[in-house]
Amino acid sequence: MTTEPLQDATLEPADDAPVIGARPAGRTASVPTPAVRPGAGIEISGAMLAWGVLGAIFLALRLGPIWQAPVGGAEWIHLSGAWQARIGDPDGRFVPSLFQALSTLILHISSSEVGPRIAAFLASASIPVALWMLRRPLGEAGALLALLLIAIDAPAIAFGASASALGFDVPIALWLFVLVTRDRALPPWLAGAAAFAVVTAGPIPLPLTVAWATITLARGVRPTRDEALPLAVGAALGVIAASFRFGLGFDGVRIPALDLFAASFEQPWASSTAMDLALLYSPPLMAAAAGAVAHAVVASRRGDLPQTTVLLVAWLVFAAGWFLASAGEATPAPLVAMALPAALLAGPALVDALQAMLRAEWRLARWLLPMSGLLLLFALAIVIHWGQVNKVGDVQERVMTGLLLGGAGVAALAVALDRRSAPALLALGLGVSAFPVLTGTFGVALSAGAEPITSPVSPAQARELRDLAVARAASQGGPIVIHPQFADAATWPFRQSGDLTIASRVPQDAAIAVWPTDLAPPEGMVPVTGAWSFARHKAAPTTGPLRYIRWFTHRNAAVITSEPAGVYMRTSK
Amino acid sequence: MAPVLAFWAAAMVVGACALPVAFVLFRRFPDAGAGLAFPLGLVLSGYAYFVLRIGSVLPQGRGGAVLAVVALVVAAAAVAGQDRCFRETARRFAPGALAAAGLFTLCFFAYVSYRSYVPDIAGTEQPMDFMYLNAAIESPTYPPIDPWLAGERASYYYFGYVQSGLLTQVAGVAPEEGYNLTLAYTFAAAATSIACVAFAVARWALGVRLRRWAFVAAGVSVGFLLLAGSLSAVFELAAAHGNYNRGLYEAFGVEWLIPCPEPTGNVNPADRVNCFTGPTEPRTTSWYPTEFWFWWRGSRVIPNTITEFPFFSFLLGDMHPHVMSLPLVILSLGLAASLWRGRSPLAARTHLQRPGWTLALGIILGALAFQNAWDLLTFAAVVGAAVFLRNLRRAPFMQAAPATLGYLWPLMVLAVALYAPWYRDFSSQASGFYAYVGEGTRPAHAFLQFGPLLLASLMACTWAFRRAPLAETRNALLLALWAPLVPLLGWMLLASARGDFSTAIEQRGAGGWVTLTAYAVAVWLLTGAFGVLVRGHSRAAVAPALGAVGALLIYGAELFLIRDVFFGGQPRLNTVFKLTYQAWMLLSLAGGVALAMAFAQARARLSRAAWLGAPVAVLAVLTLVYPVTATANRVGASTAPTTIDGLAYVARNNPGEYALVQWLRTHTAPGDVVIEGSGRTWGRGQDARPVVTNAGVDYGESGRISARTGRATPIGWYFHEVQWRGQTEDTTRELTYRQDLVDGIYLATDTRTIIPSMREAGAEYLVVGTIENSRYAGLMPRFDEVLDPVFRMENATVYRIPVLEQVRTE
Repeated sequence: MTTEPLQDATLEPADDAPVIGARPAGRTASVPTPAVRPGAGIEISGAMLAWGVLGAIFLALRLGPIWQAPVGGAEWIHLSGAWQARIGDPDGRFVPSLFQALSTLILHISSSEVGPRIAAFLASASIPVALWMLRRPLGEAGALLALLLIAIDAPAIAFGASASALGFDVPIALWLFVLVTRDRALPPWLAGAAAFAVVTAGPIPLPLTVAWATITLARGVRPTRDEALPLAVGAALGVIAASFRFGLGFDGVRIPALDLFAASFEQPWASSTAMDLALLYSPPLMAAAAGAVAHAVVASRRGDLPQTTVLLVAWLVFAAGWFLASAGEATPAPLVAMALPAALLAGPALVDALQAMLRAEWRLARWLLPMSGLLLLFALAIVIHWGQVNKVGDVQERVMTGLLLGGAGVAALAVALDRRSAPALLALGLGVSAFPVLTGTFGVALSAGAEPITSPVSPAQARELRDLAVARAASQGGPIVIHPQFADAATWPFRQSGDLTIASRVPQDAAIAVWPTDLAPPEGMVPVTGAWSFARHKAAPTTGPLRYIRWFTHRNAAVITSEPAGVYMRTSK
Repeated sequence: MAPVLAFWAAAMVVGACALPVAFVLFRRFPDAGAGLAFPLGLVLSGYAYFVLRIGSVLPQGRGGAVLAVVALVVAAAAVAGQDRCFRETARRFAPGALAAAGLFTLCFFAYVSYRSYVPDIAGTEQPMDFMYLNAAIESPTYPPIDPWLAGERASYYYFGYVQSGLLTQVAGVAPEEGYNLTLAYTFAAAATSIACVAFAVARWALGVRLRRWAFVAAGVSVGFLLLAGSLSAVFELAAAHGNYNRGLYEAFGVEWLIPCPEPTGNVNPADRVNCFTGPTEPRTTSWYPTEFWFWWRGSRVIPNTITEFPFFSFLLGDMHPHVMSLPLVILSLGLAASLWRGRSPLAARTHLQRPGWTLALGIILGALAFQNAWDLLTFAAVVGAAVFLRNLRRAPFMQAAPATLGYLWPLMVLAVALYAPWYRDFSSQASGFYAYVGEGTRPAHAFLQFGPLLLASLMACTWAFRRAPLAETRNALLLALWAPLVPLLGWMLLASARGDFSTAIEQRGAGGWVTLTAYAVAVWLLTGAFGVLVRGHSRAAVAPALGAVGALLIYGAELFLIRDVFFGGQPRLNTVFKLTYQAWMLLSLAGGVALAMAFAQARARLSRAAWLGAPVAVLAVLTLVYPVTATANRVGASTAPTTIDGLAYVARNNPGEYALVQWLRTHTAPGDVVIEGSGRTWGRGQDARPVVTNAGVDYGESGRISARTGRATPIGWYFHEVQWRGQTEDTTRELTYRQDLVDGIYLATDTRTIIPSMREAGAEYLVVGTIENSRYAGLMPRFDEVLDPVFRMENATVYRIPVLEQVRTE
């Protein structure tokens, strides 16, 4: 096995990158991919190795949540909807996206959430392939770095193996990007399939779709009839399939992508707002994207801005618009929508920045940057202590922290002021970013239930309550009664529990009743001891900077609240 | 502050998205229509939202509203892509766009700061406006439901509320904030729109040398439209300080502002009707009149009519269709100006050549009816006239007329077809066109109300007739005689046909005839000025043309009336109100341009007659007495903390009721029906049975829950529903039945009837709050016996029909 240095891969976007919306100019030469040389045995290049490693990381980080993440957020709502559809009684929580339909189908085989999650995971597994196919417009190293950024992005991980109706969204968005940046016209079947996929997906591909349409139209390019027809047919088939809920009956005109976009504003897909979640998980990636956009603006002034970058910037702008509009809403979806163009923009830009960093003058930086980092660490240690005790220290500590931060700033500024040394600052930036990014990555990948991004969740206790209720109803007879306040929350944990009675007044023959604790206990029933709950919320620690700092160092420090439920059993006569 | 910034940002985004379309529609404008992009963007996105909601493409909620704006972005990109000059236009007119954005921002925040002192959504018809805003936002289906008549669709011109709801949702602000911010938006968008049109019209007319005066024209037009008020305020101010001359006040017809004469001998009550019956000493210790709502009288100067004007509307804060339509109407005037300035003739085939134009025109013209039905005829006629005049420049009458008809008919059909779902549910209250046979307007009242604007518009004559050959002027003036004569002849014929002619002559009175003559002369002179300029192919013809239409509207309101529900008591109330409101817009525009041009000519020594503008300018300055004193009066009376939340007063004064509203918003579905008190007051009769003690329900707190939440209730404001749906036997029977049904629930003596009655009304929830506790005091049953209390705070309770349902889980 021989390996080649990474630099051999294409670092810069290709000069002849395709023009978005332009007529295909015929087949162009493909990028040589040094994979197999005839007669020389299998050679694995450094780039291939990098693809393999990053692909493995990508998949590994999404494996854990399949089994260990609690059902929560949008997934909870949509799995409940899929279950209702599976038992032939679909309600408003069933949004007929392609993934919802598949979830419903899978729930016929197994009532566990794992099946739909595996389906989502398998779809996500195609993302490295999509990135691999983007080597040409992004450059090989750029595509690799973009894959890395998506792989470790906490919101993307949370959605990567989630059985929400948006299960196919991220792969569809990336594959759509692959398709629209192709330098060849799409075969009709593929164009139709793409349109079908977009219409029957969730909202995450929408910013790209709108960006592509806007750019294409703004260039004055109108699709020919041959181009438009497959798109129209695919979209129409998608609308028809969704309107008939993939065979579950007609439900009026439904466009899942739009319905789910609207639902992202209305339904509790998270316990915290999009802005709070962004502050927890996304600042480094957004900072990198902002840098990439600035880089693109500079390039555009020089007149050498690749069309792919234009599309990516437009994609990011529309996704950011969605994020800003829903900054105060309880949804993580716009974060994922932003993460994709951000990563695709930041990947190639980071390659440039890394190259510049390597070429930088390090004589000054090799002393000043470690010093700056060290001073930052000292300052951070003090601030972390403040976070632990939830109190800002005395004047002496504050002065000390100020001096440390000032010293770190001065050292960094000294590097920044020297033009040849300035690119070396990236090292400091990467170092500083690594901490929040990786804690988020591993937090979501390894203990998703403890992260605010997967909240509210249906606690395992709710399923225990179901077992208890079913056993009691079987032994004593009489219905299981659930107060209307818990009706929706009970759908998923109480699946396969026979018939339930949703009632606001307990029937005389009730065996067991699940009742709000702020209401008077049902007459003639005794409480079942325990702190029962149907939903658990983990709030984002954004009420103050100290809480935020504390949470970073101690992920379990976030406040967890449970919606209590009282459980009452009929006393034996 | 965050809601204000969010709303402002949403308005700016929508306006910016419409720039490519504005660049195409208003290419000949000095700012390429950037100032009109605000109403244009909102109309286009509002229309997209309306039709896509009807087609179930867009879902209810914020997401749907955001997607409507996204649709506008895509459409704008398509327009920009097809516009070969887009980049060049955008580059050249960037300063104009920035100026429009700056003016919008200034006006928006200025109005927000005013409204933050008086934000309450209470009194007059504000609850009704709020109800429609919530209906537009919350309605589960489109066309939206009528929250005051559960199960029925809204029957009103509600497009303004759809647009307001769109901005409110995109900005993510609460409806009670969106209400006040929409007023600020309307104020700012009207300012930028009229500034844009006035600037364009003045620039076309002034030529290169005097073009800086176009800024003056824009400024004066903005001032006339949004700040000018009734001159009666000058008399109010003096009277409040005890400085008055009885003779002068009587001459100006404002004797009711000064104390009644000292009684001598037996006092005849009739002598004390038309005078101020309060204390004789000065009524204020401040520099402005402090009498409660003194400024209200400024909108009722002509007896038995409403003579509202835009500043009054914004001062009061009613978010009515005629207020919200201001920017749209000015947009249509801009379109008319743009169509008139174009070169190529317009005919039926033009629609095939420029389908995008046709669609945009159809949406805008159709919106006139949907937003304020009164505007359609007037401003569609202006657009039609512009098309005709454009064609007349290129072809003789016999060719221009059919070409114009060929162009306009498809447009009008499209304008109606595009809004067909609305027409299906709309029931007009207009039920006839009559000659007005009552007492005419006193000249003094006409002067106080319209004098400054009419005189400013008439300044066009000082420069229109200046260089024209005498023969041409004479011909134009002779031809222009038809303009006042045709309506007069029509009035005579109509009155004769109904046998009212002699009554009409007598009833009008000497003063009425003087006023009518004055209006007729104004129409004649302005039409003549327009004729002279048109014959000379002058680009200055727009200002006198708009002035002539404005004068014609005031003149027409003296002669005719549209019959409506007020016909019995105050027959011309709405006609005068709506037509003079339109005239105010037209005269503001024409007056601003005419006055600025007169001054430009006078300064450039081109016209001595133009110095006549000086006294008119003094009158114009005097119109500012109203806004200054009225604003001080309104703000000075405010003691509550400043906020933009229109329900903050409810939260302060009645926390239980406020919490109830919030609970309903978050815990009920948009389509749920909620029972609330019908508004009728009940007491015990002699036989101890409940009897109605007060049947008045409109203009009060009844229907408050549905107005504040958008959740439908069986019956809200009774008389308003009659207005919207027509005073037919079926309507009144249905409305009375609903009132009885609701009252029957609150007065039930047998609680077992409550749930069946609620089911009959299609309701699941019932509220007991302040209104119910007061209107059914001591008469209500114990709802707890049969209903579940699901919310309770202080004296406010929400009940729900008990739930009992079996659900499968496998």
